[in-house]
Amino acid sequence: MKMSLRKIIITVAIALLSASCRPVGVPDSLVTVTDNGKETVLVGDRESGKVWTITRNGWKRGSTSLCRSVTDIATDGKHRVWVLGSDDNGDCHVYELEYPGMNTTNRMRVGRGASSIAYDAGDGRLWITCRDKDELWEIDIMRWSVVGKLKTPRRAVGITMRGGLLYIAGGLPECAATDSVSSAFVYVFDKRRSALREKIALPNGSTLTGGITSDGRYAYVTHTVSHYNLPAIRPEQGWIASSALSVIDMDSMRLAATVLLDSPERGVGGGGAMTVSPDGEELAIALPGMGKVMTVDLDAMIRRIEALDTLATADGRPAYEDAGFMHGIKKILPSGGRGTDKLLYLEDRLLAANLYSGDITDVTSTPERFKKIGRALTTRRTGAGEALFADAALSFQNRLSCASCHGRDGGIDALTHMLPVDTLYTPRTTMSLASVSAEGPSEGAIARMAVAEKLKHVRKTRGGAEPEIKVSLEDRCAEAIRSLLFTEPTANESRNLAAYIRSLRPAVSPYLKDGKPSRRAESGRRIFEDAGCASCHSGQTSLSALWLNAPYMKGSMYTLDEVIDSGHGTDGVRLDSIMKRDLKEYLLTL
Amino acid sequence: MSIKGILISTIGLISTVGCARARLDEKGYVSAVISVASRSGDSTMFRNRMQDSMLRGFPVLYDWWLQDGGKNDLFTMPLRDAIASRIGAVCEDLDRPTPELRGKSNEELFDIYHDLCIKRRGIRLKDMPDKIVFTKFKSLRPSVFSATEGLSDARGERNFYNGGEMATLRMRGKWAEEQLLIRSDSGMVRDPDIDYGGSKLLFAWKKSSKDDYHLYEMDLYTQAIRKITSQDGYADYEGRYLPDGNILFASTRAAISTGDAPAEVSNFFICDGDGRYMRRVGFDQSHTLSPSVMDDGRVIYTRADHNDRGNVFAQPLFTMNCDGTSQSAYYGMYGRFPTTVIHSRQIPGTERVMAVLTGYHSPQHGKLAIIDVERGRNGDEGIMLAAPMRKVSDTDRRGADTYGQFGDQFQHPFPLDEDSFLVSYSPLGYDTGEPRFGIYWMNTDGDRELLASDRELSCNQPVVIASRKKPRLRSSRVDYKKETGRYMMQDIYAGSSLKGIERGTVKKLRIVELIFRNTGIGKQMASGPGGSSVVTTPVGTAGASWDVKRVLGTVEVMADGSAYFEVPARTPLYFQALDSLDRVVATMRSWSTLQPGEEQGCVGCHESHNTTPLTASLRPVAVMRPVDTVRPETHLMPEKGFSYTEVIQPILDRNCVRCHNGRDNTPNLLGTLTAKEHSSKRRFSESYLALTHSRLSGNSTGALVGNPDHPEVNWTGSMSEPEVMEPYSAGSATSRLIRRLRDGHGKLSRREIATIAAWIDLGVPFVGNYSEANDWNAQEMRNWDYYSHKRNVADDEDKKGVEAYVKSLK
Repeated sequence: MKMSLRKIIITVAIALLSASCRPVGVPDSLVTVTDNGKETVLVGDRESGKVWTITRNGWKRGSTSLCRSVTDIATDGKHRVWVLGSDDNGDCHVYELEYPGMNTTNRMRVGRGASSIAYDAGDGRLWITCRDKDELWEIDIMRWSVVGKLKTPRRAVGITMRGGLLYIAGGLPECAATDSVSSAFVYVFDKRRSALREKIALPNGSTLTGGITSDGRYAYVTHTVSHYNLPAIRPEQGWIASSALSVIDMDSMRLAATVLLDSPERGVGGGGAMTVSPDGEELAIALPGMGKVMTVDLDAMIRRIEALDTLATADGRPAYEDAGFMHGIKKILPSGGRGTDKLLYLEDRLLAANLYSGDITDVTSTPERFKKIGRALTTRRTGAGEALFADAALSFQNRLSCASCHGRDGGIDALTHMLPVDTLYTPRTTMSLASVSAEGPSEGAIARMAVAEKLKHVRKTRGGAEPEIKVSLEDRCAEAIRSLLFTEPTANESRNLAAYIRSLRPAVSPYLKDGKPSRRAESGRRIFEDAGCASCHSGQTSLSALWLNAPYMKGSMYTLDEVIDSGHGTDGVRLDSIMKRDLKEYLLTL
Repeated sequence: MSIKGILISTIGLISTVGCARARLDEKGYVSAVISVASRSGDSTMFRNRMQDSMLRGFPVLYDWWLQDGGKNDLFTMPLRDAIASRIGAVCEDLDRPTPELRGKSNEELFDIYHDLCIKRRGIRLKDMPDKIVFTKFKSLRPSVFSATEGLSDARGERNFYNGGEMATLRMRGKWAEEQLLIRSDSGMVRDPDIDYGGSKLLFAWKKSSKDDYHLYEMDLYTQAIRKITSQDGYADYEGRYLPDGNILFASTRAAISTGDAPAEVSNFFICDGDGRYMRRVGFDQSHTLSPSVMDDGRVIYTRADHNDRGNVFAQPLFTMNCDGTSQSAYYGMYGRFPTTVIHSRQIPGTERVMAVLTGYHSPQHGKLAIIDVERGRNGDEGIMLAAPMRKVSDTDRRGADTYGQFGDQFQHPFPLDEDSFLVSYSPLGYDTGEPRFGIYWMNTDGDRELLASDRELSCNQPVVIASRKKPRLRSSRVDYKKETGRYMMQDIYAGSSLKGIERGTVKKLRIVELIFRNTGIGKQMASGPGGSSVVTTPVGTAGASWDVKRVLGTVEVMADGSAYFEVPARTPLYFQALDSLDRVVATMRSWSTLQPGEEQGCVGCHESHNTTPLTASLRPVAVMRPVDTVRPETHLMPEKGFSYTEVIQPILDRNCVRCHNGRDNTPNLLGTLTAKEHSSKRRFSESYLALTHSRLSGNSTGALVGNPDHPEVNWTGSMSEPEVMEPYSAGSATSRLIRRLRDGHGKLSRREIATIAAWIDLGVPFVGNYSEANDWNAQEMRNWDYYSHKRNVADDEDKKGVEAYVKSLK
C-alpha cells in the first residue's frame, strides 16, 4: 500500500514536473497541406518560433524551429510552405520550406511588423503586409526577390484574394478622431497592375479589425464599431463599442452591409479570424475574447442583407445598429480554450487555435482537444495578464476587453474616448501601454480616475486640503476594469494585468536606421530643442512612438505635418519647410 | 397481474421505485377510472368534479392519463380504446413498438400502460436536480398586484389566506420524497430563494393575521431560522440573494398606495445579509414584483407602469443592476400584449427568459412564455408560448384584462436548462374551480412529470437547492453622499417618439416629479382607449393625471438633440419635450429614477433597446459643456405639487372671470369650490370642471368624468392607449383654448398662457397635494392621517438606513 502511494506521488510529481518544464506554446497560425491525399495541419507557434506538423488525427509528426516567433503561414497546398517570422531584434523574415521535409530552401528579410502572408498560385507571388510602415510587399517566388511595394491601409490585419484582386483590411482609422466619420478601410489592389483599385471605408467608428476572409463572392471583415464621441457611461447596447462583421460585395467592390455580432443583451467581445466552410454554407468567426466560435448560416445572412433595402430595422436605422439582425442564424460554440483566434475546417471538423491555452481544439460539437502545442501562456504571470487583457469576461455582458481599445498587443494609441476625468467628460486618447509601463505612474485619465476613487475613502487633512494620493499600476488596472469594463476586479486580476503591461516594451521606430536616427532626424532633434518643445515634452510627458500613434493632439490631427503646421508649442518660432521636414523626421524616430 | 408486472414489482421491492410505486395505489385508481368511465352520460359539472377528485386522489396516475390523451375521452369512448390509445402514445414517446394488446383485460392494459409510464418517467427525470424547495399555499388572488401582502393594517383590500407550508423534495430515483421544513397553520410562508453557496434559504413568513411578512433565513444544514427584517405594519417579501452579498426584496415600506384601489404598493429595497442598512431603491408608482437575478448580475422584475396611460395593459419586465442603477424596460413596455409578464427567470446559458403571461385583474398565473429580446422588445415580437411551443395567435395578440385564464395554468417557472424546467402547474385550470397547482418537471414541448401535489393546497415556487456560479459583480458608482444623478441623452430625435418631427423643434425638456398617494379615499371611474379603471384619492376629474405632479423645471436640448443634465436622485421623474412655444411635443408616459451619483445614458425617446447608439453622429454638443442643471419654471410652483387652485385660478381671476362669471358667458370660470358628487371626495372649482368638460358620469360611482378628447381642452388621459403615441397627439398644442388665448382672447400674458398650457400638458391635475380641496369626513381624515404618519415614519427609516450605510463605508 505504502509502495503504491509512493508510486502515485512520484508519478504525479513527474507528470507535474514534465508539464511545468514543457515550453509555452501560443498557436497563432493554422493551415493545411495535402501530400499523397493525406491532409496535414501546420501550426505556427508565436512563442517558440516553431512550425508544428500534425496529422489529421491529432498526432504530432514533427516540428521545425525557424525563428523567434512565427507570425503567419502560407502554402501552395502541396509542396511548398512559406513562414513569416521575426527574430530577437524584431526583424522579420519570410522562409520558404519544402513539404513534407520542412527544410528551409529560401529566406528573405522583409519589412518590420510583417503581419500576414498570402500566396497566389496564379502568378507565383507572395504578398506580405508589413505593418510598421503600412506596406504590402510583393515577392516573386521564382526569382525569390521583392518586385514591388504598395501602401496598405493602416495596421493591416489580413489578406484575401479573388481573381486579380487583393483585399487587405486595415485595423485603424486614417483620419483625425474628431472627424465626423472615422473608420478603418479595406483596400482593394489590382495585382497585375500593382495598383490600388478601391478604398472601401467601413462604417463610422469601425476600428480594431480582427480578420478578413472571403467565400469568392463576398469578403468578410470583423471589427469593432466604437462610439468614440459618446461618454463612456455604460456598456449596454454597445454604448462604448460593439462587435461587427462587414460584408463586402467582391463583384462591385462595395460594402454590402455591416451587421452586429453582439446580441442586444450580450456582447461577443470582438470578432477575430474567420474561415468559410468547404461547402461554402457556414462562416466561422473566432471570438478571442470569449474563448468561443460563432458560426453563421451564410445563405441566410446574405438573404437578410439583400433584403435590407426593403426590410427596415426596428427604427429604420442601418443594420449595423440592430443587435437583433443575426437572430436565429448564428450559433455560438465554446472552443474549450482561451484566446481562440485562427480557425480551420478539416474535413467535417472545425479546429480552433487557442492562443492562451496553448492548444488546438475541435469545436464541432462538444469541444475536445485536437492537439496541445505547449504549456498554456497563462501559466506565466505576464501570460495570465495577457490573456486577461483580451478577455471579455472581465466586462459587463462581455461587451469589451482591454484589447477592444488598446489592441491585443496593448500597442494601439490615440483612439479617442470620452472619459469622466475631473467630473467632466473629456476626449482622452488611449495610450500605448508600452510607454505607460516604461514611465511608471502618470497623469493619464485612468490614473486620475483611480485617484478620485481612492479619495472617496480618505478623509481630508486638517487644513481641508486633499491628501496626496499615489496610485500604482495595479490600482490603475483595477480602475480601468471598474470604470471602463464596469465590473469589480479581483486583486489577482489587477496584479496579472499590471505584470503584463510592465512586460511590454515600446516598439522601436522603423524610421531609425540600424537603431540610429538619420542626419535629417538629427537636425530635427536640434530644432525640437531650440523651439523649446522639450520644456513640456520631457520626462513622464515625453513623446514616444509617434510614428505609430496618429491621430495627435487629443485626436484632432491625423498627421504630424498638421501638428507642426499648426505651430503647436513652438512659441512663435517660425519654421521653414525644410525645418518642418526635419522636425517631422525626428518625431517619427521617437 | 402479468408476469412482467410481477417481475417489475419484485424488482421494485429492492428499489425505491417499487416503494413509491406501491404508494401510487394503482388498484384503487383503476377501479376508480372504471367506475367513472361507466358514467359517461353525466353533466360537465359532474365530469369536472370527477376529474378534480381523481387528480387529488391519484395525482401521478391521473396526470399521466390526462397528458397522454386529454380529459374527455374517458367519458366519450370505450375505456379499452382510451387505454390503448395512451399505450400507443407512450410507446411513441419511448420510440418503441406498441405491444400486443389483444385478449388483455382492462386491468392488464392499465398494467402495461403504467409500466411504460414509469419507464418514461425515468428517462424524463434522469437529469432532475437532487433537491428542491417549494411552498404550499392557496394561490395568490384575486389579481396580480392586488394586496397579496395581506398587510396587518391594510388600507383596504386584504388578501391573506392562512395555512401554508414550505418543504423540500429530494429525488429518490424516479420519485420525489417530501420533507417538511416549516408548517404555518395561522400564517403563510412564501418566496424561497437559495444563496449562491446552496446552504441558506431565504423566505418570507407571515406568522398570523396580525403579523406581517418579513424575511427569514434558514441554515439548510441545521435548519436554524433567523429573522432578517422586522417592523410591524410593513410587509417584506420576495427576498433575493444578490451577487454583492446584499438582499433585494419587495416591501410596503414605501408606505404609498396604488391609484386604482386603496391598496399597498410594494417597491424594491435592499439591505445587507443581516438586514442592516435598509434603503429604498425603487421609487415606483405601483408594484415592482417577482425579481430574479440574471447571469450578468442584473435583476429582472415586473413593474406596473401607468403614468398618463391606462393601467390595465403593459405591466412590463424591467431590469436593474443590483445597486438599483440602470432601471430600464426589458420587454413589453408598450401595447396590449402581453398584458402582464410575471415570474420571470433567465433560462441558464441563454439570453432568453421564461415567464408567465397573465392579465391585470387576474391572479399570478396564466400562460407560460419564452421571451427572446433578440427578436424584439414589444408585443409578440419576442414571445413564444411554451409547453407546447407555439406562436402567439391573433386572439393572444389582442391582449385582455383576464389574459391567459383559460385552459391549463402555469406559475413560478424555474428553468433548469434550455429545454426543461420546474414549474407550478395546474392541468385542469379553472375547470375544477380555483386552480390547484402541483410541482412539475416539464420540458418546452409540454412533456411533464408530477413531482409533488397536495390534496388541498397549491404547491408553488419550486427552487433548486444547489450552489451556483455567482455572476461577476458589476462595479457600482452609487455614491450616497450625493443627492443627484445625471442623464446624458445622445439625440432626442432618435427613436419612435419624435418620428417625423423636424430637427431643432425641441428646445427644452421639462422635468416632472411624480408624487404618489398615501392611501385611497374616494372613487372615480375613468375610461379610455386603455380600458377602464377605478381611481382613488383622485388628483382631478376622472381621466386627469393619475398622480400629483411637481414641475422641477427645464433643461436645455441642444440643436443636435443632445442633453446632459443633473436631477435629484431617488426621485421618480418623467420628461416632456417642449417646443419653442413651450408646448409639449411628446410626453413620457412612464418614469425613470436614478440612484445617487448614477449617470444614465440614453439615445433618444423610445429608441429600441435592440439598437446601438447612433454611430453616424458627431460628439453630442451637450457633453462638451458643463452639466446642465434644472432651471425652475417659477410660474409652475416648482417647490411643490402643481395645484390648479394656486396656479391656474389666479390667472383666470385676473383675466377671465369679469366676463366668465357664471351668468353672462360660458364657460363659468369662477374658482368657487363645490362638491357636485360624494364619490370622488373632492371639491372641484366651477372653472376646473368647465375647462375639463366634466360631467356627472352614468357609471356606478356617479363621480365626475372629464373629457380628454374635447377639442377645446384635450390632454393625454389617464386611460390613454398603452401604445406609443404620435408627437403632438394631445395637449396644449391641439387645444383650441391655447390657440384662442394666443390670438389675443382675454389678453393674457405669454407666461400666463404658457402656465395654462403646462397645466393641460400635465394632464389637467386639480390638486397639488392629495389632501387639498378634499371632501372627507372625520373618519376619512383620520384614515389619511394614519397613513401619512406611517409614510413619514417610513421615509425617516429610509433616511436612517442610508445614513447608516454611508457610515458603514468609513
